[in-house]
Order: sequence, then structure tokens, then C-alpha cells
Amino acid sequence: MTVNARVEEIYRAERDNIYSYLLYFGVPAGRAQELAQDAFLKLYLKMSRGESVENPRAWLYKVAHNFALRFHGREAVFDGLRTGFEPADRWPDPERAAMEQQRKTVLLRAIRDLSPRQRNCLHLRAQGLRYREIADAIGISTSAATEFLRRATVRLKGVMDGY
Amino acid sequence: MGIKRPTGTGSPHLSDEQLARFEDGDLSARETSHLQSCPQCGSRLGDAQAARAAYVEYRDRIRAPLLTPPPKPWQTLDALIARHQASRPRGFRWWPVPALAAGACVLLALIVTALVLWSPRQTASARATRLLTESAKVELPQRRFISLRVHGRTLVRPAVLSTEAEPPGDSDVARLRMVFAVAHYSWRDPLSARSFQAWRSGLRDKRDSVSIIRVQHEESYRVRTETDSGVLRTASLTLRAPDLRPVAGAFDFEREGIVELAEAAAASEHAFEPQALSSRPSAAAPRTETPAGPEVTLHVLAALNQIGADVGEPVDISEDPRHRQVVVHAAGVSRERQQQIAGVLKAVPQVVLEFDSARSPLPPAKAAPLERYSASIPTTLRQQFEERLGGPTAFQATTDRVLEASAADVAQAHALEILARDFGPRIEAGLIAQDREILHKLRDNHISELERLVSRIREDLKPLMPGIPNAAAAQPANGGAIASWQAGAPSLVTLARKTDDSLNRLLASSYSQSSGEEMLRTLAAQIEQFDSAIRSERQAGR
Repeated sequence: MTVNARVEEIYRAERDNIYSYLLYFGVPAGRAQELAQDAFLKLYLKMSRGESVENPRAWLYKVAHNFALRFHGREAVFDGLRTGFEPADRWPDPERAAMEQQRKTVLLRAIRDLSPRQRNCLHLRAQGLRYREIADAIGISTSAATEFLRRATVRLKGVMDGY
Repeated sequence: MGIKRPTGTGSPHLSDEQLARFEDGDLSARETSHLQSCPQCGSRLGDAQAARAAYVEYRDRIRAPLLTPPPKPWQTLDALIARHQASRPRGFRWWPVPALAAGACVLLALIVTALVLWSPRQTASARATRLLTESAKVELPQRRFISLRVHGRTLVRPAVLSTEAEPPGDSDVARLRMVFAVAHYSWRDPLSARSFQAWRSGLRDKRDSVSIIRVQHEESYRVRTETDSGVLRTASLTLRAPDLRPVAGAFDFEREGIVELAEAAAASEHAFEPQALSSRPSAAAPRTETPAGPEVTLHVLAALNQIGADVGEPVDISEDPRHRQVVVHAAGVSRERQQQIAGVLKAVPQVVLEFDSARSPLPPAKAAPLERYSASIPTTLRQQFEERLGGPTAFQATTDRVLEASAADVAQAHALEILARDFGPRIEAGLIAQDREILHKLRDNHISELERLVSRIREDLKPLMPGIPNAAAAQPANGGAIASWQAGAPSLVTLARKTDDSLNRLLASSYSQSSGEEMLRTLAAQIEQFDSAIRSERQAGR
């Protein structure tokens, strides 16, 4: 497979994820899309120079993370929203709908209660990155990434038990 | 690697890092076999997987529907590559003109970005000169038009006049031409870096500033020069970031007011000649409109500060390219927060609000339970921490408080740095007394918050660092000798970050017993240094 074909494949599979990652940092949509495209172009250029990229997905998140930091003149906060949501699910059974709504509310509270770094690590973990790749992407040590994830796990478990 | 004993238990269980390696498929067969036979480790692994599943549910069912979809169709990879290649030199004889222009733009943008962003020590004057010099090299279209706005009228004319003559009978134009001539500024070609530079280089005393303006994802550089001599007291030229093309200008003439220039669409074929210079009454803005100065940004910050939206929230503040308005952009705040922001900014004129999406708020979250597991801190040190702080639960609570306070400290230091950057000593001196008071209040709020947070960290960690003196004992750094509070702000950011890194390493990382003890000593010194720097900052502001 040529470099072009390989990157094209990754581009199609991951561009929405990288774009979303930038949105989580509060980068406006138009700029986020440009930056996401730039990240894939950088990947293509790097690979076409013969440089190896062990995990292109992890590398793309690292580039996107740096883009987000550069975009903001100040500290970039991951998913730092005073998040609310409009319930989107409509269940025919009112009891089921109420339970789902309650679960969503509790889940949202639990996630909102995590620190931005914990959310950031958890997000990257959910995207399939390994611990050291998460650490590399956001510029912390692997043990710190492990600790952030551990704390997030404990907090989520405590809140979500019973739901 | 053998199986570690997690702290606080007497049985051999996998450490958090070993569990992480298992999830990544990097664990040895021996360690894996332990996991298969140990319910406790298996349960911890299950918790991690459940947490990830919960987050995936949040991401996919709650958060993803709220994200703005990409505003444009995705470009193909081939198109991205072609655009990039078109911007690169390959060999002079093969360059088509558009590729040459595009390449020049990208190179220029890189050079300018390096000049403006990556050379903090370079003076504003040197940056202004470089920007203008590079901009003067940009080839502009021959048939280019500009609008001039003065005294409520908007005049459209060719950007470059073939002669210095003005159309007969237009007294405003005749007066403008005379005013430009008296100021030694080219009336023939006013919206150009060359003319701006020619005027600027003839000034005996001048003060330059360069700012980056971002409006709706477009960046530009504004070079602004002030002088006390001549009739043209302040002039600014806005250069579009990708290619440094001058797109707008503002000229503040003594006793004449402000003349604003901007690129304009051609009025007609005939308008290319100066005789056909056209005019139309201004419907866009009233006669009394003035450019948005730094005081508008200050009032915006003060208003946001009232509701705590100036620190740690995704709110960006910028000026539009023509400096008529301050744009407040909030990316994805809740509907309630939008209303709060709009409410406090209602009284501030010349403000444009941009919100990305609307959501409703949630009721306050209940307190999260304290954590059960120990971190990877060496056992002896952890036991020591727990004993001094009153047990494992108290230790975890302290860790949470300290790390949160430290993160808030970094955000406060950043907010202070931005204030210092946007309101340097010269701008501060130019503010009216009332606005200066607002600026000082904002600054003092940030400093007070920094002091409070450091004091909290100090108090929380005191049982671990008995040698650390009380906050009151900290002396200002360098005897408090900082040239200005603005000059001291960047070092506060550095110190806040260093302290935050150290705290994260100490309380949320793995290390050996000896390096932990060393970290404690270093951390005590860092907190001292940070505290001293904050005191110096306060003194410098007095």
C-alpha cells in the first residue's frame, strides 16, 4: 500500500474524530476543521519522507493537542463546558424514558465532576490510545496518565454504581 | 518485572501501571496469570473497563450530538497535498504564477508567524518594521479600490491615484488630501505598507505596537504607531495574515478625527480614475462612532469578571479588523451561561457576541466519593503522608484539593499574563483614571486569587513539609524590584506551571522513596519562590 493510500485510509477513518477532539478544546468549528486537515497533511508529509510513525492515530491526537494549545492564548481546557443537554431520546414507555433520563443525568454529572485532565485522558483511552500514547499526546508522564485514569475510574464507579 | 505490592495492602497485587500494561497487552505471562486468579485485581480491571464504557456512553449519546458538524465538506487528501505542493518551490522555470504567489504567501506567513509569535524578545518596533518591510514586497492588484470613511461619509476611490489631483468640487476630499500632505503621508497610495513605512520612518519619536487580531477564524496583524509630533498622532495598518496584504487602516489626525481606510469592491469601471471618485452617505454607523479601543476590551473583561467568566472558560476576546467592535466568542457554553454573559455585556458598547451552541444547565452535581485505591507513591512515603494528614481518606481529600487549587493557580496566572500583555504600561498610562482603576481592580483580583490558592496549597501540604514557613514570612522576590506588574506576569505563569508539574509528580505519579523526599524539598522551595513572586507582583502594582 502506498503512503498516499495508507494516509487516505486513515484520513477517512479518523478525520471526524480529530475534528471532534479539537472541538472539545473549544476550537471553533471552522478552525477545527482546518486544523484537522493540517494534521493529516503533516502525517502524509512525515510518512512520505520515510519517517516511521508507530501509531498514526496516536500521533494525530498529539498533533491535534498541540494545535489546540497553540490556538488558545491561554490554557486549553478539555471539554471545559458548563455542560447541559436536552434529552434527545424518546422512549415510548414513560417509565423507561424516566430511567434513561436519570441515568444520563447522573452520567453527565459524573463526567462533569472529573478534572479536565481526567476527562482528556479518559477520552483518549476511549479512542483506543495506549497509556503511554495518551501520556505522549498530552505531554505528561505515563505514570501520571495512569494516575489520572485511575482517579477517573474510581470517581465514575462511585457515582455510577446503581445506575 | 515482578508483581508490585500496591500500597496500603499486605497482599501481592498488580500495581495500577501493571493493570494499565495488561490492558495494553504488554503484561508478562506471570503477571497475567496473577490477574486471572486474583478477584481483587480482576475487580479493579473491571472498574477501569466500566469507567471507559461509561465515558463512551457519555461521548456517543450525550456529547456527540451537541458537537457542531464540520462546516464545509472535507477536502480530499489529494487536494490537501496539491495545495501544499503548489505552495512549495520546485524550480523557477516550472513555476506557474499562481503557485509562486501561493508559495510566497505560505513562506511569508511562516516568517511572519516566527517574527510575531516566536520572538518575544524582539521589540515591537523591530516587529513592526519587519512586517511592513515584508508587506511592502507583496504585489497588489492594479485595479484595487479603497473606501475612506470620515465624518460619517464613505468615499470610494482607486487604491492608487494616477495623480495627486482630487475631483473638483468635493471639499471633503480636498481637505483630506491637504491633511495627509501636512502629515507627510501619501494621499496617492494611503493603504500600503510602503506609504505607512515612509511616514513612520520620518518620525523622530514614535511608539509601535503589533497585535494579532483573530476574527471568525481569520488572522491579521495590526501595526500601530503613535507619535507626539505632527498632525497624524496615531496610525494603524492591518495586514492580512496569510499574505500581509494591507486591508485596512486607521488614521487619527489632530483636530480632524479618525479617517478609516479599507479595501473595497470596485464602484464602477469609471471609479478607477480619481475624477470619478464616488461618495455615499454612511448607513453603516452613526457619525459619532469611534473605534473600539483597549478600554472596550477592559470593560468586557471587567464585566466577565463579575460572573467569573474571564478565567478558565472557553471565551475568547478579539477586535474586528477595523477595530470598531470587540468580538466575544464563547465556544459551546450552556444557554444559561450565554444569557449570563450577554447580560453582563449588555451595558458595554461596541461588543459583538458569538456563541456556538445552546444548552440547558444541570443541577449541581453531588460530591464524588473519595477514592479507594492508593497511588503509586512509595509505601513508606505514602504511609508517612497518610499519618501526617490524618489517614488515607484525608490524604486523598488533600490531594484532590491541592491539585485543583494548583490547576486554578495556573489559570489565574494566565489570566493575569493576558491582562498584562493587552494593557502594557503605555496603554495603561493612556487610560482615563476610571478605566485605570478598573484595570487595577482586575489585576488585584487575579493576584489576590493567586495568593489565596497558594496559601491553601501551603496550608494543605504543611504537615508534609514542616520546614516550609508561613505565607506571611515569604519575602518578595528580588526585594520586590520589578519594572512593572506587566513585566512580572510571565514569570508567574512559569512558576505556576512548575509548581503544578511538581505537585502532579509528587501526588499523582510513580517514583522512588529517595526521589520523593527530594521532590518534597524542591516543592517547598518552589512554593516559596512562587509566593515571593506573587508578593513582588503586588508590590509592583502599588
